[in-house]
Amino acid sequence: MPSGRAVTTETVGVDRRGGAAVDPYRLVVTILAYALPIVFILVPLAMFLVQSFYHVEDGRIVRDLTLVNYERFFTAAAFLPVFVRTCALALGVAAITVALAYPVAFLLASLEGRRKYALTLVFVIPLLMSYIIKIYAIRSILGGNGFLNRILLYLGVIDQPVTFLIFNLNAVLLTLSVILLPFAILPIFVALERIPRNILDASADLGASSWRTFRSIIWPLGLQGTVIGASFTFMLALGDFVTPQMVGGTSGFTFGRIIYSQFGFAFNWPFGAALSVVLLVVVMIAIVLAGRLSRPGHPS
Amino acid sequence: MIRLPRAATALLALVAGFVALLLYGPLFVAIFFSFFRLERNAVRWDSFSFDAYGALVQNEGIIEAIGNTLIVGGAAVALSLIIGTLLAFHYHGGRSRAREVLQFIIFLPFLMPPIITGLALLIFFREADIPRSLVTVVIGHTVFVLVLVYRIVLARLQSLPPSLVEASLDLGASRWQTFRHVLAPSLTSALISAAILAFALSFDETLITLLVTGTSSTLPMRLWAMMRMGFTPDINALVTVILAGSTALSLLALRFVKPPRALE
Amino acid sequence: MAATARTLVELRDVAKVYGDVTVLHDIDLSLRDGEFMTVVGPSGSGKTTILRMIGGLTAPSRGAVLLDGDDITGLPINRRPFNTVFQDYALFPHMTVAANVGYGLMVRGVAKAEIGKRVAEALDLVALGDFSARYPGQLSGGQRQRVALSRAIICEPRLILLDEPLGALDAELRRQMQRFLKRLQREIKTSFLFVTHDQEEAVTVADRICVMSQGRIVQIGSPREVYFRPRTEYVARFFGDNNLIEGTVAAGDGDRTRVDTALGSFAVALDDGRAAPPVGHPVKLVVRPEAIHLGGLAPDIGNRLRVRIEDIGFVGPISQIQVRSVARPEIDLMVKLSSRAGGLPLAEGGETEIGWSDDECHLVAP
Repeated sequence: MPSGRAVTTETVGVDRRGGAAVDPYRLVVTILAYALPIVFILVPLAMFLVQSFYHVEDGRIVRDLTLVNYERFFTAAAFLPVFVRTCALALGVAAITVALAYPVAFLLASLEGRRKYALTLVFVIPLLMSYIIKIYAIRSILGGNGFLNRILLYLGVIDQPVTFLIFNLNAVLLTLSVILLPFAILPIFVALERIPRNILDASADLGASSWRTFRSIIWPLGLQGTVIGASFTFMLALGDFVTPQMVGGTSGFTFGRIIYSQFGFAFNWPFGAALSVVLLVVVMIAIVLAGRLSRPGHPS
Repeated sequence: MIRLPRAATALLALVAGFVALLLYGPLFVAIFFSFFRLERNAVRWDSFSFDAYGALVQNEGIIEAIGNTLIVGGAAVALSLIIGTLLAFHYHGGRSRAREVLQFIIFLPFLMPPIITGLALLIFFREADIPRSLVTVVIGHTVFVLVLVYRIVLARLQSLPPSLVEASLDLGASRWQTFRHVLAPSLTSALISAAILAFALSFDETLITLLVTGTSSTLPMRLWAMMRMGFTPDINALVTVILAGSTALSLLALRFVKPPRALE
Repeated sequence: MAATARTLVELRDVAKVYGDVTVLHDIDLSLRDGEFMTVVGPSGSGKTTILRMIGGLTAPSRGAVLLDGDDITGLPINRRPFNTVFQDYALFPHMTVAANVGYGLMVRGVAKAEIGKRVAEALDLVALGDFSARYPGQLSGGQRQRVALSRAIICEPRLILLDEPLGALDAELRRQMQRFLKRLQREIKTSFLFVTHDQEEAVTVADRICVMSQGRIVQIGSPREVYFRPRTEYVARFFGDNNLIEGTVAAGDGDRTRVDTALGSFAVALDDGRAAPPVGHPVKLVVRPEAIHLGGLAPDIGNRLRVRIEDIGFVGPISQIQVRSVARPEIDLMVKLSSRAGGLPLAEGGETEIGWSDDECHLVAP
C-alpha cells in the first residue's frame, strides 16, 4: 500500500477509463479555492511589483516601465543611508529580542504542567492586545514627563529628566524590542519543546554535564526556532512605520516612515513601491541566510 | 524538557521576571494612571476614581472605532474560516505541484513585512477602483489571518486516519454525509481555536489596517489620528479594558487550543 | 463449506500500476457466493490491493471488477454492496458503539426505531450487547475489532472484506477470533474475503486460499490442496516447514513416477488426473517433515534413506529433528514427530533410517 495516501478521486473508485471523472461540484470548489488567494494575494503583489517600475511626472503616474525609482534610491543622498541605518536598527532589535527571549523560552520549556501553561499565557497575552495601544503605553513611560523619568528622579538616580530615551532612534529600538519580544519567545519555545526528553536523558547517561548537554544538544536542536524568531522580529522591525512615527520624533526616521510618506504627503506611489521592493528583497535574503544557518545538522 | 538545577532556574526566572516587567510595566503604569491622577510631580493618592472610564464610554469616536474593529475582526474571522477550511480540504485532497504553489501563496502575507502586504493591497484597490472602506480592511485582515486558519484546519485533517473517510464511504455515505458526520465533528475544536487566534491577530493588526483603511475609523486609525492631537486620559482606561479583554480571550483559547504536548 | 459453485465477484485480467511500479500483474480471481476466501502473501505481494480494488477504494489500471457478471469497475465505493473491516478498525471516535454500528443504516435513511433494533441484534451477534453506549476509546483492541465487524455485517452486504483484521491482537485472542469468524461466516452465509500475511491463520479459517507473491496469484485451492499439493516451490515453502530435494524425473510406472535425486531414487504417487512430467525434467521433491517416519519403518514404506541425527529440538507438541544424509552429508532434512513426555528414543549423533510413502510426497517445478 503506498504511504501518504490521501482521499483522492482514486479512493472514491472513479472510473479511469472514461465516463464522468470530473465532478462539477468539485470543480466549482476548486476554482473558488484558487481564485481567492490568487486575486487578493498574487495579483496585488504583481501589481505592486509593476508599480515600482512606473514613475511620477507632474503629480501623475506615468505607466512606462523604467528603473528611475531604483536609481534614485541608490544615488540620492537621502535614502540609502537611512535604509542601512534601519537595517542596523532591525538587526539590533532582533538581537535584543532573541537574547531576552531565549532564556524565557528555555524556562518555559523546562516547566511542567499547569505552571508551564499559565506562565506561557503570561508571555503570550501581550500579543493579543492592539499594537498601537502598546506603543502608546511605552511612549508615556519614556517621555521627559514620563513615568520612567519620574521614578529615576524620585530615586535620585538622576537629577535632570533624561531625554535621550524619547523621540529618537533609541526610543524606536527600545519600543520595538519590547513589543516584538513575544514574537521571538514563541518559535524558540516551540522548538525547545520538541526536543525529546529521552535524548537529554541519554546525554546525561553518557556523562555529559548540563552545560555540555546544552551546548551540544539543546542549542543546535533549538537553533531553527531561534533563527525563526530572529528573522521574524527582524522582518517586522524593518518594515515598521508606526513605532518610528509615534516615538521616533524627527531624528528617529526609519525606512518604513519614508515608504509610508510616499503614499501620503509625498504622493509618489511608484517610488514607494520601489523602496518596498528593496525592503522585500533584503528580507528575503535575510530569511534565506537564516535558513542556511539553521540547516546543517538539523534533524528535521 | 530538561530538569534544571536550582541555580539555573533561579537565574532564568530572574531574566523572565525582567522580561515580564518590560512587557507589563508600561501597561500597568497606564492602568494605574487610569485610576489616579498626577499633579505636578506627585501622585495624588486620594484621586482614585473611575472618571477616565466614564470619559471613555462617552468618547464616541473611540467607541465607534472599537466597534468597527470588532466588526472587522468578526468578518475577517468568518471569511477566513470558510476560505481557510475550503483551502485545507483542497490541499488535503491530493498531491500536486499546483497545490504546493497555492499553499505558498497563502503563506505569503504572513512571510512578508505587513507593510508590503498592505501596500500591495492598496495599489490593487486603486487600480481596480475599489474605494477604501471597512470592506477593504476586512479583505486585508482576511488575507493576513487566512494562513493561520488554513494551517490549523489542515493539521487537524492530516491527523485523521484516512481509513475513517474510507470507512464512511464504504458504509454507503455520500461525500456530504461523510463531511457532516465524520469530518465536521473532528474539526469543531480546531475551528474554534483558529477563530479565537484569528480574531486576536486581527485585533492586534495595525500596519495593514492603516494602509488600506478608508474614512470610517477603526481603533488603530483613531489612535493614529489622536497621536497628532494628543492623547486624552481615557486612553489609559482603554489600555485597561483591552488588557482585560485579551486576558479573557487567552483563557478562552486555552480551553480549546491543544497544548503541544499533553499536560504532564 | 456451504459454498455454492456460483461466482459472486470476479477480477478479470486486472493490473495495478503506480508510476513505474507494477503492484498487480494479470490477476484473474473468482470469488464464490458464500465462501470464506483468504488471500495470503507477504507484504508487498499485492493482497491488500486486491481487497481495495474489490471494495472500490482503489481503481484498477487495467481490467474489470465484476459482480454477478456485471461490470462494476466504475462504481464508487459507497454504491457497492460490500463492506470492509479495516486494519485499524476505523471506528468513528466521536460516536458511541451503537452510533458506529448503526452508521451504515443511518446514512441510508432507515428509521431510528428500526436502526435501534438491528444494532442490538448485530451487537448480540458479536457478544457486545452491553457496550452500545461506550465510545471506541474505552474499548480494548479485541472489542473494537468486533464493533468494526458488527458495523460491516449490519448492512447485509453481499461480501465482507477483511483487511488483516487480527493483526493487532495477541496470539490467544487471535485464535479465538479466527474460530469466531469461521463460525460467524457459516452462520450468516455471507462471502468473506480475508487478507492476511499469516499462513497459519489462512489455513485455519479459509474455504479456499489464494496465495500471492509479488503481485501475482501463485495458487488457489483449499487449505489441504495448498498445503499438501503446492504447485510451486514458493507455495511449498510458504506454508509451514517443508523439505525440498532437487532431482530429475525418471521413468515411472502406472500411477507413480520416479525421481532421481542425489539421495537416491524415490517413488511419487501422481495426483488424480495429472500426467507425469516428462522424463529428464528437473523437479523438486517435496516431503512434509511430519510425513516422514523415523526408525522401525513398516514394509510398505518405499522411500527410504539412511541418516544421522544432528539435533533434537523440543517445540512443545512437536519435536523437530534435524537429520543429515549419511551418503550425502551436505543434504539435511527436517523430521517432525509428536513429542513424548519421557523423551524420544533417539540420540544425537546416532544413525537411523527415515522413510515416507509415495503418496506423502509431491513434485514441484524448481
